[in-house]
Amino acid sequence: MNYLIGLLIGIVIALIAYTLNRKVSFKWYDWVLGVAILGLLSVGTQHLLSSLAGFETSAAWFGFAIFGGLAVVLALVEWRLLSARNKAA
Amino acid sequence: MAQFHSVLSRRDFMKGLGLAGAGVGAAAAVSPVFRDLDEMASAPSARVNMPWWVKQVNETTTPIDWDVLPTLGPAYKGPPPMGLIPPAYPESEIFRMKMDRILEKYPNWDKGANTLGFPGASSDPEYPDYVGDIKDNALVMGAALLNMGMFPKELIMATHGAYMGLTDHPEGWRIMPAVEQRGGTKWQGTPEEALKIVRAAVRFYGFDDVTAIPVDDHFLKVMYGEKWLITHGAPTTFEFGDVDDIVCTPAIRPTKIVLPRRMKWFLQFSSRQPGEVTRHALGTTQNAGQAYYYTSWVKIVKSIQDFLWGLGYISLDNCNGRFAPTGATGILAGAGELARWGGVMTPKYGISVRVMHGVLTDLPLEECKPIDFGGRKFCETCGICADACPMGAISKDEPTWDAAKPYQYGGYLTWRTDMAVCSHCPVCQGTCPFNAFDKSGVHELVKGTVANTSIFNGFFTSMDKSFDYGRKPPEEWWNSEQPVTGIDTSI
Repeated sequence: MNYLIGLLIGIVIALIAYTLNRKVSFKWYDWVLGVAILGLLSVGTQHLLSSLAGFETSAAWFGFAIFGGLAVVLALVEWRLLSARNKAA
Repeated sequence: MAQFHSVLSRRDFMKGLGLAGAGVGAAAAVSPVFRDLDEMASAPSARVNMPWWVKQVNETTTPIDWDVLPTLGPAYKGPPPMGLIPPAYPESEIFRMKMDRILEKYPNWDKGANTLGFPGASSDPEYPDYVGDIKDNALVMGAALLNMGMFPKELIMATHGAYMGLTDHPEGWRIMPAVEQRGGTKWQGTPEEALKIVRAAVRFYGFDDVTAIPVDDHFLKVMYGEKWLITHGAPTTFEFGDVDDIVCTPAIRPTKIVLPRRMKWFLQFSSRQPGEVTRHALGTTQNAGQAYYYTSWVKIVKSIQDFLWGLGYISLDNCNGRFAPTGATGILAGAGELARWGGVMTPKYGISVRVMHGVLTDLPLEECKPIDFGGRKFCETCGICADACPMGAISKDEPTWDAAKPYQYGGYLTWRTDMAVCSHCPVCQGTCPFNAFDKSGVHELVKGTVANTSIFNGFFTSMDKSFDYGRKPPEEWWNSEQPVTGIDTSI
């Protein structure tokens, strides 16, 4: 069930992102960063939920902060890259 | 009856388990398991239930000098090894040391009723052991029946002491006649097929890490010629002879066992100890996970023996390290690596195991190899279990070749836990980073990394401490829904 919910949310977010960025041309490194951001978020979320279920509250949030934090940093980098490219265009 | 129970004191009963077992090993060789896909496809079935990052190696990761290691076999004439190690401290001092550490971690500890009468707990009425509040105490009490396979006093008395427990027949109970007397012939197959079906049966009965090794010169060197079992009034001697079946003298709790020369294989298996209930325990003398597996494992070993008997083959149990140190057999057969806590660490369950088991058998089995998953190497950096030990029994120093105590062995490079100091709490079992009970994918990543390089070991140790892995407060366990029998078999 969690897998299906996650999949649906992911599809919706992807559609919204695609709609908003239809005029943006992505470079190869945008895809690399995107995959890295999604990967980090996935690992962080899986770690958070599994650790909470396994009595590891501290580990859950520390781990989520690390993986999620890295994902946020990369997302900000990607956002700045796209913004700069849009301005240049 | 006092005579029978005089041998079941705290030390005698719970400490000669072969946990630390004086394991042995050999030079570390870290060549990968597979060189190509064909080799992987033709890999021995022995590895099918090991994680992908576990490597099969030719020698155990604990370096060993086979010329220096003392022979424990028939040539051994020293005092009976293991089982009867005198405690280093009086009961009162042991209790005080453990109590200090418990109150340090849990200042508001409700110690509850004491555990006098529970096998393995302190027998000193002035300084009895305490498990915790009434729920924890009751959970341990419920696990006490058939502890170590011992029959209740009433049953022992009903047989006038002739029978004491499930281990009375080292060759198994053989509840059915021999297969030939049942109108059949013994099972036939290749050693690979044999290990495959035995593994299926063993896992069904409740054990894991099913491997096998031949009874070769190395095995015979660590197999006892004489052993004083904790439930026996006298040492048992072992020898191979020209006999058709295992000859036990006397038939019940024998002190002499003659084995047919065709018993050329050692079948290894190990039991997990419910991890969550263990690490949610306080660290007194017992916890429910520990106690419950002392009640169940003897029965499982006996079930495995009768399974082999049903196939038409004979076996001799290694209950309580009857004929060989279980640390040695565990690492030689590839169930795990010898670790800092003095026992075997397994790749999947860390040190939450109780314990390494096995049987000698005449069923030809596929030979397995030792394994390397970076566990011993990780111990060199880690030491979390040694820091947590309330008794200071686990070495915090570098591994040594020599034995510091008369009841230890030299000849292999390892950390030697002082079993005269170990209080059997078992705090160490709840702390090992390799346990990793939760299902976070990070653990797989970390274990896969540790198996291939040691450069991050210090970082992973620090992360384990920073993330507060390890022991947890007892009350938390009662508010959770645990897997049946306390073991998540999907890990």
